Parts: sequence; C-alpha cells; structure tokens
Amino acid sequence: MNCLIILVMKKLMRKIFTDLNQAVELENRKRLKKGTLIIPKSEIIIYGQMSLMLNESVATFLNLIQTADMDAQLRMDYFTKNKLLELLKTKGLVYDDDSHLVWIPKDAKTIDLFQFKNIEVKLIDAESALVSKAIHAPQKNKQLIRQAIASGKFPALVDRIIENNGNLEYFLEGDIE
Amino acid sequence: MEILNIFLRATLNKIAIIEKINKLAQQDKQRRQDPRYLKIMGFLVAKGFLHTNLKIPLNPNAHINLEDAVWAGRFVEPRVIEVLPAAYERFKKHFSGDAATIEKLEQIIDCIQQQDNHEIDFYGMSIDKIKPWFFIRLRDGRSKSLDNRKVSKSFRFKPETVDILKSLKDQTGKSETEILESLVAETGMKL
Repeated sequence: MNCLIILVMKKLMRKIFTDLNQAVELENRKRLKKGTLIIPKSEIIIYGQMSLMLNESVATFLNLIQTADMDAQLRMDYFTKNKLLELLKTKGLVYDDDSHLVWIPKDAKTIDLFQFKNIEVKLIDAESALVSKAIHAPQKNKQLIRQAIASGKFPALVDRIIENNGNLEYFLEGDIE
Repeated sequence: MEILNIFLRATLNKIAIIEKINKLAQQDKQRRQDPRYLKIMGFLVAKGFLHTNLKIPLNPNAHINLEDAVWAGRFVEPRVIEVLPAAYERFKKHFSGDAATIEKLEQIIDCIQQQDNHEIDFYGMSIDKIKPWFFIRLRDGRSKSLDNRKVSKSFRFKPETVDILKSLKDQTGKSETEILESLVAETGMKL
C-alpha cells in the first residue's frame, strides 16, 4: 500500500477543514460586530470509502479506490455547508447529497479526526463502514468485503453482516469472464 | 440437542463460506495485477477521477483500449465504470475501442449534455452515479469540466462595432470575448 497517498489525503482534508474553520471564524467575528447570532460549532461524520481512506489503521492493508465524493453526516448551518461545498469543489471533491440515505449500523462508533474551534470532524469506525457497504452497496464493494474478511482483521465483520440481514453468500459469487 | 445441531450447522456453514471467500480474495488479488486494470487505473488516478492507496504507476498519457477499461470495471473495480464516461468525454484522444462501446458512451454524454433524465445505464451503472464526474475539477487544472467549457458561437457585426471592440480590447487589455461576456453579464444584472 502507498502510505504516502493516505498522508496526502489526510493533509488535503486537514487543509479543507482548517479553511472552513477559518471562514466560520471570520463570519462569526462579523456577526459579533453586528450583534447577530453566531454560527454554532459544526460536526461532520465521514462515512464510506473516504472514512476508510482517512483511517490509517485500515488503509495500510485494504486496497481502497474511491471516486471524488465524500459521504458524510453534516450537522452545520447553511453558511458552513455552502463554504464546505465550495472548498471541496476547489480540491476536485464533491459532497454526496444523498449522504443522508447512507445506512449506518446501530452499534457504529466514531473516531476523532480533526478538532477545531468551530468544526469537529469524525470518522465512522472501519468495521461499521464495511458492514454498511456489505449491506447496502455489495455490488460496488464485493472485492473490498472479501479482502476485509480474508484479512482476518475484522473478527466481527461476518457476524455483523449476518445480524444485519446481509447476504453473505453474495460475496461467494465469482465474477465469471 | 436440536438447538445444538442448528448452531453447529450454522457455524460450519459460516466457516465454509469464509473459506470460499478467502479463495476468491486470492483470485481478486491476481486480477488487481492484470495489466488492463493497472493501465486504466494509472490513467484515471493520474487525471484525478479516482483516488487510491495502491501503488500504481501513474500514466496520464496512456492510450486506453475501451474494452480493457470495461473489463477492469466489470471484473475488478466497478468505480472504473462509474467514471469512464466522464474520462472518455474529457480525453477522447486517449481512448479507442469498438463502435458499440463508443456509441454507448456517446449516448450517455448526449443524455448528460441535454440534461435528459432518460433511463440509461453503462454496464449496470445508473446515469445518476455517472453524472457528477463530468463536472469535477481535475488534477491538471487545465481540462474544463462540462459546465465550465466555452461554447463556440458566431455573430455578424457592423464594421464600426468591430472597430469599437478592437479599441476596447487595446484600452482594457481584455480579450474581445471577455469584453462581450462582461457586457452581457451587466445587461443580465440590469434585467
């Protein structure tokens, strides 16, 4: 695996969220001067492939390929969301507006990624991200799930797929040329 | 006893499935070494359509055979299928292939350009999944996305209008297109 890419991706995301934090800070100063309500602290939970790519503990042994989209749960106001979309676009990334449709297992945990004054960025834990993919996007992630199971690094993955009514046998279907 | 039997059967079944998955994971690993996969990935990653943590030789100047790219998308990484129409649209000179695949790609491009919501897919990938990648900013920063690309349009002006335009160009240092675009934008604002 290319660990440098993981660091580059993390650096890119750090830059985006640092700039976002800065933009909110400037806007809040303006609002304070005007005496209007300031923007509350925002929370972002990154899902999907991006969460795996930013998670160094798994990105070193799973082959990860991702498009330029970011699935995430955003708890932020209109100003912050617009600014985030703009910042992502300048870096060739896109926020997936269907992120609210992403199914996340109930027992999913979050991992802190970045903490700023105005923005808190978290990742969904890797195993839950894989369970989510196995249940709701198995076609796109067939090889990734097989690799994750074969790695033996996610001892509860198979059980969690079964518990959440996933079709484990789907991953047995070889792709015949 | 009956419950114990059910439990044992389920456990054995699970173990058998995991063993089979392990074997298939080995086959997947071999496919990831296939030159067809490495070539299209080297191109798509170099251009910025895909990101990966794999050590793949980047090849932004590669010439891609569409059948090979489709193979990689169908049997190794479905995200190749997702971004292939956008990559083809932006870098047509880098691709060659059979008439059927090209026709399919052109249909998708037309559909997106005309903002047609026609039900169409590319090897099972819906147009909704394919569309966003026509509008992203790429790594080279040079190739324009579909929404930023200039459209060629010709007009016939009076000679004095052309003279004024040239003189405005000399005075402002802007191109004739920039001058006309700003005048149109200004008028648009007033309306």
